[in-house]
Amino acid sequence: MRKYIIHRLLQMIPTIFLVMFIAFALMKLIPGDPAAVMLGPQARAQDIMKLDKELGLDQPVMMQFLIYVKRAFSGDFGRSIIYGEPVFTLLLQRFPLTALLSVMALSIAIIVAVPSGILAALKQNSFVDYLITVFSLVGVSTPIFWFGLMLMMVFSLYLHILPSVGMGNGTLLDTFRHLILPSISLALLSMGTIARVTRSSMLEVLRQDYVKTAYAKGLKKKTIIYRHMLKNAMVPIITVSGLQLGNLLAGAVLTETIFGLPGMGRLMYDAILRRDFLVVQGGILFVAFIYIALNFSVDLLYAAFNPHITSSYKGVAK
Amino acid sequence: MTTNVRTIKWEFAAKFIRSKSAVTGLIVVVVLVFMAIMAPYISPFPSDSMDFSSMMSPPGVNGHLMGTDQYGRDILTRILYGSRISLMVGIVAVGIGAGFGILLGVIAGYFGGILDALIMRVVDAMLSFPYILLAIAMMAMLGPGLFNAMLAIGIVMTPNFARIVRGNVLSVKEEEFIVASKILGASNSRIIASHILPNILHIIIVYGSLNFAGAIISEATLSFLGIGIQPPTPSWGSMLRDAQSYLQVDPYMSIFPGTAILISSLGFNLLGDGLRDILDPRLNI
Repeated sequence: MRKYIIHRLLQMIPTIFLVMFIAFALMKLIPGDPAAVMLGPQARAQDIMKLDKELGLDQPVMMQFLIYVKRAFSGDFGRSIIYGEPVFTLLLQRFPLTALLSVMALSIAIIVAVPSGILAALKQNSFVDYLITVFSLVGVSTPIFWFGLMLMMVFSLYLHILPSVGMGNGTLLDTFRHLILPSISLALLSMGTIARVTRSSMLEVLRQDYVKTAYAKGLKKKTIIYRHMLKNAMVPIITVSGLQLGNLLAGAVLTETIFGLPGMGRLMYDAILRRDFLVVQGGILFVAFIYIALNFSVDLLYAAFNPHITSSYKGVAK
Repeated sequence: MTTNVRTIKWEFAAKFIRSKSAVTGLIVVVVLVFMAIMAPYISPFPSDSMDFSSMMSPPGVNGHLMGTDQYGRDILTRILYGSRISLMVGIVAVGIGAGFGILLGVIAGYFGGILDALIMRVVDAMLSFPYILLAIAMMAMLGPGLFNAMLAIGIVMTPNFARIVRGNVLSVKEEEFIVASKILGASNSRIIASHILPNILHIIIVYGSLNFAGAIISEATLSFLGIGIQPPTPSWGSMLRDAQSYLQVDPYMSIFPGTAILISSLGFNLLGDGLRDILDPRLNI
């Protein structure tokens, strides 16, 4: 296991550098001088030159990248033009809300999708299966921002059951109430995918010999489903759920924008509209790092469940 | 040989007709294409005419079947014209994504070695960014506009195509008929063009259709955030951006364009899903 972990860590190094290179290269897409664009048309020439120097833009490109990498590793993603604060500080301030929203969304998605997927697999080719398959396809095809707007329209504006925007008065219960609609709309992003993976991995397990044996032994159906099938079908479900968390963090840009939540997504949205490029760049790198970390943890979990993977890293002698 | 090909074609057609999802998907796609081509002829009103006597009217008033928006523009007309944007973005973005993806995937899978390692590292790195976030960030830097949106969506699609093509090239490469033509002295480019590509074509079609749905939603997302298609060009996403402020006053402004996005992307997803079941049920995408 230890060898495997070390191998995976080493594998991550080039990916991390390339990810940083992509984030760095994004700034090169800006037409014209980024400093001039950021400061706006009324900026004075000396201010532009000062920002150019601060961003290291007066250096050759290769040097610029090295400076960027060095700074990023020490948590220096530059300074926000709007807020005048370090980007990293801003991201850390806003991240907890986005993380909470994403975890809530993932929980909702799993609670709905996993049982649906199991049901669809057990009743393969029945009407229920067909219905669940169509629903998960509709889920994948729905733009989550529109779904959010529709939820807001029905539950806040017409039925007045749940609040539409903002964070409320700050008590735990009220915050939770304000996060219900955003997390449901965000959950839709992953629901279809998780349901489909659950269905197909359950179908896979269904055909295995040990399940047939369990049926032949006369075990109760419930015992077979929970103790034998689900336990083995869980690995792909965990994998896909873990990876979905990264997408949910990204989807938060949309839900936080619609529901007026002051999270990381909203921070990035404001930054996009006000051409605060360093916040956009820092935000996307931050999410990518989290995604890589999630991917790594999912792989380790996968390896822990599946001895085949780690066995190839054990010495021949033992 | 010809009869053989013909039977395969008939078999495909028969399976296609029996597949509910493929047929439904195809119908939606055909209707969408019809809407896009015929928009100027079937629209009840000129594309950006404003009816100041009925602004934000509900469906049915003054001949506006789906009502009007905050400037009195006919929503049905804008939805018809909006289908042009969605289809165009889908075609060009999937074209870019599939084009570069096939190129990179074939090079990586067929030639292997250092080239493979290099390409796959870049692909891995790009996949470390959530798809939509990378597109959003690219648009934030490039600036809004139709061309930039197509480019950004196409580029973020590329790594997925590359990975799928590579995986399938790797397995096709080991087939006996390819080994045989190698022994017979066929050049690499000939093997790729006449053996490898035809054998992965079905995967590209299925994946292309599923990604078309993704492109429609991505364009809508970018335009909704205000960094995609710019007003006054009617795009479903930017219509929803306008509608957001009038959610309570005029719900139809947001119901219809959103439904248009949902049905179109559902259509391409159904088509892709159906085609996968027909062409290769074991395909895991």
